[in-house]
Amino acid sequence: MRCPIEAGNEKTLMVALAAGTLTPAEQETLERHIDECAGCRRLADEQKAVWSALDVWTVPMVSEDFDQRLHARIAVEARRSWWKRQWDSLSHARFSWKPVLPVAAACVALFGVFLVRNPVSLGTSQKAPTTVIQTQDAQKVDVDQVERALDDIDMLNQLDAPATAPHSSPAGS
Amino acid sequence: MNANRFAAAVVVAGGLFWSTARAQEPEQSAPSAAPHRQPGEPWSPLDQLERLRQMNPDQRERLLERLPPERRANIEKHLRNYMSLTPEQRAHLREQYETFRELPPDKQEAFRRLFGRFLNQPPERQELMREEFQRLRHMTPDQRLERLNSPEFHYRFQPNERDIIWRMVELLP
Repeated sequence: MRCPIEAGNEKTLMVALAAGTLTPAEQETLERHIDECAGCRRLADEQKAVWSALDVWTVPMVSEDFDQRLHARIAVEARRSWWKRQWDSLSHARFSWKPVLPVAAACVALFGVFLVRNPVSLGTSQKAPTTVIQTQDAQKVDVDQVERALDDIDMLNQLDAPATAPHSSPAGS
Repeated sequence: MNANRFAAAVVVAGGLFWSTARAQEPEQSAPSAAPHRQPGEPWSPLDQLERLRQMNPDQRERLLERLPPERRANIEKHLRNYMSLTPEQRAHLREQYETFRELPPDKQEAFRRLFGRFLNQPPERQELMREEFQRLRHMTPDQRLERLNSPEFHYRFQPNERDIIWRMVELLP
């Protein structure tokens, strides 16, 4: 017999041997090979151990009112508010900090750089009116005042024509 | 693996931040021809107007970009007119404006209302009224009174026009 490990069907044969589903001829052939092959013997022993453990394990008995209590719990769950169900699903979900930590560290680093580059604007942003800017040399320009000044200067400019010789055109002509 | 993720997050976010910060940083070539003043002394509207005039287009854009379109167009139009004047004309207008600014606020407002009435006149009448206003301003008080009571003045101007000229000269002789 060719070694099952070399043939690649050792799992199938060992399970079949433990389950007793091989034909008498196949079982005899395999058992003779196991006597000679240490690798197959080890596999056969492990499979037997598994089957022995399964034989020892006893399934716990289900109580008679199991179905009633299960349906009662389902009904209670259905009556809970949606946000409690969402919260439970979140709190019981598997959460990993792995992707959060690099992003948080990057945000902290960026915030630090931002503070270094803009030390003034952060502190004065809430005090300054929207129409006032602070230029590089701390000189402020109030747009409202400039706008009024421009209006007045334009007014004065329109009235500021050089005086010429009196016209003789009468009123309303 | 975590170190690689952290480095990638920092590099990507840092690049975004750097490009944003560069777009917001002030111009390095800001002109420094602002008028001399004592530290802490408030800027007059003319000083601020001069500052606005000396700004480069990018700085001016940042200052005006938050304004409503109508206000912005008004400021830009008046600023263009002001910047198109010769230095001598600007100096003359600054003197006129300083004189106007010395008026009490209620008289300033009254003058602006009179200018509004002036603008409601036909262009050819505006020209005559402007010339008369300038001629009267160059007269002594006695000459001015004589002129205002002269038949020529009554001949040339309608009652509404005379009222505007008279009041304007009274407010800003």
